[in-house]
Amino acid sequence: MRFVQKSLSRKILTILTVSLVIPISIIIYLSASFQARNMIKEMTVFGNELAHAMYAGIRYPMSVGDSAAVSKQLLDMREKLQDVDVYVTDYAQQIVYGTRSELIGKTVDNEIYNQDYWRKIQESFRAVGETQITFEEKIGPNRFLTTVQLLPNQVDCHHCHGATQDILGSMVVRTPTNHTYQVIRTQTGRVVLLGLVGTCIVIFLIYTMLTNHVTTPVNRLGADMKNLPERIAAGDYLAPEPSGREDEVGHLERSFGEMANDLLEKRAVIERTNRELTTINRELEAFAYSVSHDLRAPLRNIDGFSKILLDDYQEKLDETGRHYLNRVRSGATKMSQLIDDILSFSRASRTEINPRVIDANSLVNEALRDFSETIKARDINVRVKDLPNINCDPNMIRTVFSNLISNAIKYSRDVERAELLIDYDETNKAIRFKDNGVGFDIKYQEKIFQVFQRLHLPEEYEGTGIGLAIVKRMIERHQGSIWAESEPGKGATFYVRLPVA
Amino acid sequence: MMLSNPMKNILLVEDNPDDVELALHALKRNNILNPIDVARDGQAALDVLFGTGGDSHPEAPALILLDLKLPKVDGIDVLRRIKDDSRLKNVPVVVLTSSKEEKDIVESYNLGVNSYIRKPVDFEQFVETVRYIGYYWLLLNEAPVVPR
Ligand SMILES: Nc1ncnc2c1ncn2[C@@H]1O[C@H](COP(=O)(O)OP(=O)(O)OP(=O)(O)O)[C@@H](O)[C@H]1O
Ligand SMILES: [Mg+2]
Repeated sequence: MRFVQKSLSRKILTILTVSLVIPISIIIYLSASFQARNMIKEMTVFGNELAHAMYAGIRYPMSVGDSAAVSKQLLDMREKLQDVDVYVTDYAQQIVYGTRSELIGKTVDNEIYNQDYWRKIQESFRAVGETQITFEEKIGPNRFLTTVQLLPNQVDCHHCHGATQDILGSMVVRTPTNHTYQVIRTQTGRVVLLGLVGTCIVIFLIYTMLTNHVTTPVNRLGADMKNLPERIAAGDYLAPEPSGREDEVGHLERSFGEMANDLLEKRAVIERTNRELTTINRELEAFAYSVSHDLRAPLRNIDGFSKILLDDYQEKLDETGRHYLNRVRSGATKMSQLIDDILSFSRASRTEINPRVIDANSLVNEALRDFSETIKARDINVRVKDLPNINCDPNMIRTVFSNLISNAIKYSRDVERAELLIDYDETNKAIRFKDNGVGFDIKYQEKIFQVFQRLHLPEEYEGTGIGLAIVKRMIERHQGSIWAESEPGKGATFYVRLPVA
Repeated sequence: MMLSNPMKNILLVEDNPDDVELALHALKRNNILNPIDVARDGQAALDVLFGTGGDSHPEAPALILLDLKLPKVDGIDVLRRIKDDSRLKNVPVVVLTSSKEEKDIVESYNLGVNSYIRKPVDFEQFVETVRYIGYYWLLLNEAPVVPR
């Protein structure tokens, strides 16, 4: 898991740990090594002084060749500082005197220190007159601080050693430092331990503070936010008490509370609207039902009794009387047609839609089948090009296509050779019904989709003007759209855009 | 028109008096001469069919013409009672009504209606429709003998 994907508290913990442990480790390391260096420095000073003192002590006996006195000095020394070894060597680095007699006669190179330092001290003596060098050495598991003090050839030595050599030998003071390092280690250990414990405590404190003030409220908001719309819908949600904090978290809590309350309110509004809509729908249903039953009965009676009058009272009616009676009858028939139309329109709003994916070609062909006789009789040139699959209620969209085809056929009745092209317009993403009929003035485009709005006279072209209103309603119920292009005398094109599967 | 059983009644269930008159007129024009019982609401229809008293079983009609939207007891309920009754369930019932609402048609057929016809507004067509009904259900169709 990448860092950014971890939880907020894990991030805080990681950042805290990294940002505290690294500098604190550096500080501990620096202070520990500083301390060690200090101790070594002190020991070096001590070694140097020791070497000086020793040199001062053995210089006179050596110059007079009193080897017993030299040995005694060294033994005294051993008594005083038990673990410090002192050796006096000749120019070949062979041990001449020493606090440990078993090493006398051996070469220091093998036993005590590195030849390199011997060379280095000789060089620095010849260059700048330095006679002392102090260094650390490691022999097996043991560490030592070693001071090499050159024994330069001086006037009072010439009687024994001659004047040719500038260096006669050296004095080596070796102080074991294992113990010192041990002390340094335990001290460092203690510092590290203390530092770590301190760091952990600090991390814990900061972490608790941050989680209490940031992570926990944020997590609580997150938990509240989870499935909020569903929970509000299920009625299992109460807006949280604001903590009254004035910082960003408080702000977040307030915004969240406002949002939740907003959702609750909206939810209530939606529920109320839904209830109202359900009621309206039920009422509409009942209304349509009684319209279809009750409004027709009087029309039937008007037509029926008029017809009986015409048939059974023929001789009592003159031409004008019969004419009026026929007008009454056709009014009744017209009204009955209007009722049927308005019911069909309301059905387009009321019936459930059951969408599925279907080939638009098959729907168009099914719709065309109802007009096959007219198409044949009038020799209409119908072309259907490749249409896409659409996601729709097949019954409704078949009705849509049927209405558009019916119009195209009806309003191209007076042209020499009627043409109907049905294809898919890629640019507009719409199925297109194009005829070469009478067309209409496009400025009435809004009107033709309204109930009972017509642009042509009923004696020219029959119809009540419900077709396109139903079409538009059905397409809108599919979240689609319909529009037209036309010019009087130049045919009309209707575009139907539906959800393409 | 020759009728197979001219003695048997036709029950016309219709609340609107004008519609009753037009229906009788249409039957007469088609020479359907069976005696006609008219029930003006659902309850009246049930009384005619099942009798008012406990054990008097009136003779089952040859044909029932049933409107759906009726006062008191609904046409659909009348239809249900008829089709639930062992004695009456074989009597042909033709729903003759104003609406062609999907739910009316579906419900009627679910209950076992024999025919569902919407009354046309045009009287000539109505007369024609009644002619077909009479011809088909009274003449052409062989009904089982109704037990008494
Ligand atoms: N293809 C077309 N060419 C020319 N005019 C059209 C065309 N389609 C529709 N119109 C115009 O739009 C009007 C409304 O059309 P609509 O289909 O709603 O009604 P209608 O065809 O007149 O009657 P109905 O469809 O109810 O029988 C029509 O009266 C006509 O003026
Ligand atoms: Mg139309």
